[in-house]
Amino acid sequence: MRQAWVIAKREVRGLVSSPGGWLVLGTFWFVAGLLLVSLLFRFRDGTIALAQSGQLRTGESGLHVNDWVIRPLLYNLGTVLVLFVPLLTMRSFAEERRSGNLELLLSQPVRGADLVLGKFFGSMLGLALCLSVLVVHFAVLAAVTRPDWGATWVGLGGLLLLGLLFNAVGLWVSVLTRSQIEAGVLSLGALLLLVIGPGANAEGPNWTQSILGSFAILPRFEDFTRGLLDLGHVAFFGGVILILLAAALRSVDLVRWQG
Amino acid sequence: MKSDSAKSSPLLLLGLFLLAAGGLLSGVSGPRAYLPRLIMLAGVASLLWGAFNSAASIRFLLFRARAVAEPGPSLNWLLGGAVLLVLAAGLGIRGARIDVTSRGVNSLSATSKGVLKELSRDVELIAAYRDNAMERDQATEVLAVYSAASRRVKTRSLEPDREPEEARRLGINRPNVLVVRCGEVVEEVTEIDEETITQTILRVQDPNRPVVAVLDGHGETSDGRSTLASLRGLLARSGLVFRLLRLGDFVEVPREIRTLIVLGPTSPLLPGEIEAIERFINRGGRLALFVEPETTTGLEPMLARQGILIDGRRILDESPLSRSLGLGPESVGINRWGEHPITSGLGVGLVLSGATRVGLAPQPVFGTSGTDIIRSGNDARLLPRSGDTASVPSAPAALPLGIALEWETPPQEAEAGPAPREKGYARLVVIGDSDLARDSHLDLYGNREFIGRICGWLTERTYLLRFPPVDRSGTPLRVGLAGLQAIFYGVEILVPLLAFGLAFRSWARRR
Repeated sequence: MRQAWVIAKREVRGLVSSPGGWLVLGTFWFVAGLLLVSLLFRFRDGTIALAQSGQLRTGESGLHVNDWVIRPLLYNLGTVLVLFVPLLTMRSFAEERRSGNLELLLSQPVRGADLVLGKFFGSMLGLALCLSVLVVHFAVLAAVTRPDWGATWVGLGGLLLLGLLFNAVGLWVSVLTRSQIEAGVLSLGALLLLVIGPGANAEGPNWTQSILGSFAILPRFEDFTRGLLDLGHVAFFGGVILILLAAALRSVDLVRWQG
Repeated sequence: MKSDSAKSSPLLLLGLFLLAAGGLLSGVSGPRAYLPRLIMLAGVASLLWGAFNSAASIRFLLFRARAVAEPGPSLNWLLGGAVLLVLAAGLGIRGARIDVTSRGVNSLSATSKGVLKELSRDVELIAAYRDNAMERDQATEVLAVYSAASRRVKTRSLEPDREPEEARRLGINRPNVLVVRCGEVVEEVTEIDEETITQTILRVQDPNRPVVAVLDGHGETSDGRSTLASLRGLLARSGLVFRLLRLGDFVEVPREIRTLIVLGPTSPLLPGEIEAIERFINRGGRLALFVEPETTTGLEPMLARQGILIDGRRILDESPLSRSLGLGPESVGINRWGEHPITSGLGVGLVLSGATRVGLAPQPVFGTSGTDIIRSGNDARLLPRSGDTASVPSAPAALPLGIALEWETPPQEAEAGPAPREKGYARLVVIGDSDLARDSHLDLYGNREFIGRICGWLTERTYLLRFPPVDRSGTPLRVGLAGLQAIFYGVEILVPLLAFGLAFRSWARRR
């Protein structure tokens, strides 16, 4: 496990010491800020419209910041992660393979499991850095209104789980490819399939809808953003992440023994 | 390998493009509805082919099943993942959901939970909304909450335009409704709120829907008086069958009628009608009588025998509560009630208009059990009758305005026919005003809930009792336009600029 942390730290150092890493982070923070500000303006307009229609009575009826700002913010950030996670994970194995570092690394006494876990923890920390901007956002929201923190933390937990699942997909794809671009494009394609695939069958027969629906990720994530902690969803995300990491590990083993 | 990549990249891009195009066209309906699916299928095939070309490892993964099945950490992780997925499926069926919101927006009230726990038959909730309907998402969320609350509740969604045959089979006649179905009984719900849905569930799975008759023929529904459309809607919504009843002389109250409402007759009932109502009560019938001041119904002697006294004089309530209603000098505001299932937990006050005193005799009649259910404020006076110039208004006092009474009745012989089995006791509610049940006053303050509770108590349909009010409290936004602009500059410019600055620093260091 210690080796995994060493690899993870190396990953994060690689991210924060490269201009590309900061550019990705800055762009994500920009998009997140854009979402927050537009939702806050929408919340303000809604509150004013409600007050003008005479329905607003302080403390009795009104618009809730969780419904109007936090929930759509977290949900939209989940969708935005589809685009950003491949940028974070595409380097992890593909670049090592291209530069020949992977063969070198695999010749060291490092277990495949440590290598995969290290890369996964590294991308997890990268994701945490991306989402760290939410600390600023929540501080702003706490200053200007009164969020329901229970629902907010559960929504944030859901966003983290979603990001970890995306990370696991990106990691596996990265093991299978030799170039960053390929890894990025393939990860994006795989994530798009995961996200829109189950919904794309909306016109299909009911039985296919129910089968694909059970693999749908976004509806499960949406439950978290609503402040609903579904232990079934937690187990689902955990299970899929473990299976993807197992696939990544098996792929690393194949690379180790078969080149 | 380089040549592999060169071959696969256009395929990958083409696959992505086709997927996106198929997704954008997924709204196409009609005979060409298969096109988007075909395009997306081609996209998936292109992606898979590209991936197959690009990475030799995938070939190993696909074809070396033996190698994949080798024991090791990966197999352990795979098994762990599979166990978690099975657990997720199990939890999905059983429902292990914790609503952490402070407003409880993702869970049902204790009333609904209790109702769903008692369900004896499967009930199906079908969201029949068009894809672009605004209420579709809300309905889907509500369905998930109900589905998680009871295994008896099955849910499904369908697009009625896309599956017209199925919609017709399920008894869905129009789009954008929530349909509640139990066996062959189907009801449509247009308002997606918990109270409506729970009561509809109760209605469709209840094979015996009590008939509540409103007596007619004595000015109850004549021109000039506020109509009963709201009362009719309230009863229907509460699972009761509304019927207008003209008794006439020498006629029995039909056996299938369980509850009779006499709503402010302006002329006395015929002697035969009075006798029929008395026989109806004596065989365990339930009566709600709403009387107007200075009007005689003819039922007063019968009521007096049960210890119920109707004063008949008009009430003038000068309490601040009544004056604050701004509905005129005859309005009586009520926020004091006795201990009774009808009034238990009643939160909002009532408004009566032109009321009279209705109370119980000091000495209760043997075998009856009754109580005052509503009282006026302390400043209510009884005005002299019209034309009585000698008398003066009574001293201010808190006056009883409504009573509820029940007593055991002699056992009745069982009768054949569709009549529901009667309980062996009669129930009677008398209120000193009839306007509160009419369209003009039913929706004022707590009148609707009060009338619903009276009907619920009389018909023994407890689900008519109170649902807790929905928490619609909002959160104030303590910032103006200038503050929002400051937030814009902070999170939209400063924070990203920090990251871009660090990117520049890294770039400069590398150079």
